[in-house]
Amino acid sequence: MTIEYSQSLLASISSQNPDINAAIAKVNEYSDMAKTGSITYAEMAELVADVQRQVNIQSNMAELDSMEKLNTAINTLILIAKTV
Amino acid sequence: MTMLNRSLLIFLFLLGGCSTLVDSYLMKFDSNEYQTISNIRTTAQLAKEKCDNPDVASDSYALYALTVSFVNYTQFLPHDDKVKNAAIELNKMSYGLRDQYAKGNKVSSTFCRIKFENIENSAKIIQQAVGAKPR
Repeated sequence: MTIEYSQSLLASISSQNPDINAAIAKVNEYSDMAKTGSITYAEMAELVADVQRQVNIQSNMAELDSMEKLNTAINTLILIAKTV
Repeated sequence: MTMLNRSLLIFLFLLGGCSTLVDSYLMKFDSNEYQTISNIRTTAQLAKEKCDNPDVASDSYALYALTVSFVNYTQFLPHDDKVKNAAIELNKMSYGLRDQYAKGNKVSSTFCRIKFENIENSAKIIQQAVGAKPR
């Protein structure tokens, strides 16, 4: 297992999802930083773990946003129906 | 009662039921929750400018304390699971930063800056969602 192997796996991912593509770019960027020595391997591991954590946060907040919009839409419809 | 009125009553009843259902699974806006996530974002935002200064270690500890506080605050709030999950992830992010300083390792300024930026950006996403909760 090498960093290059992981990067070749990343290169093989073909996704239309911009969030996934942004995550791939970040993981590649952190891997390159470790290879050139601008961060340590331990720091790279932590930053790569952050990518997954950020995806989890985005996913939870996107669901919350959908629930909030649904709630607003329903309450608006009820208000309209009551005033008709 | 005409057929139309009856249909309208049924429609309103159904909508009312949906509203109760959604409202009961969606926590209302909580100013304390908003204040806490705003403090986390601001602390990370200001600390990233100090990454070349060794004193930044104390900022990583302060930020970790704030994220622990956010996890604890949301822990038992009903119908707030999405924010709870996000708080736990944010706490893991700040723990990872604090841990590098706690181990006594030399922490690179690149790592320091990216970490604070990651936490700041994630806190902003959470703040946006928390701020949009229904009043």
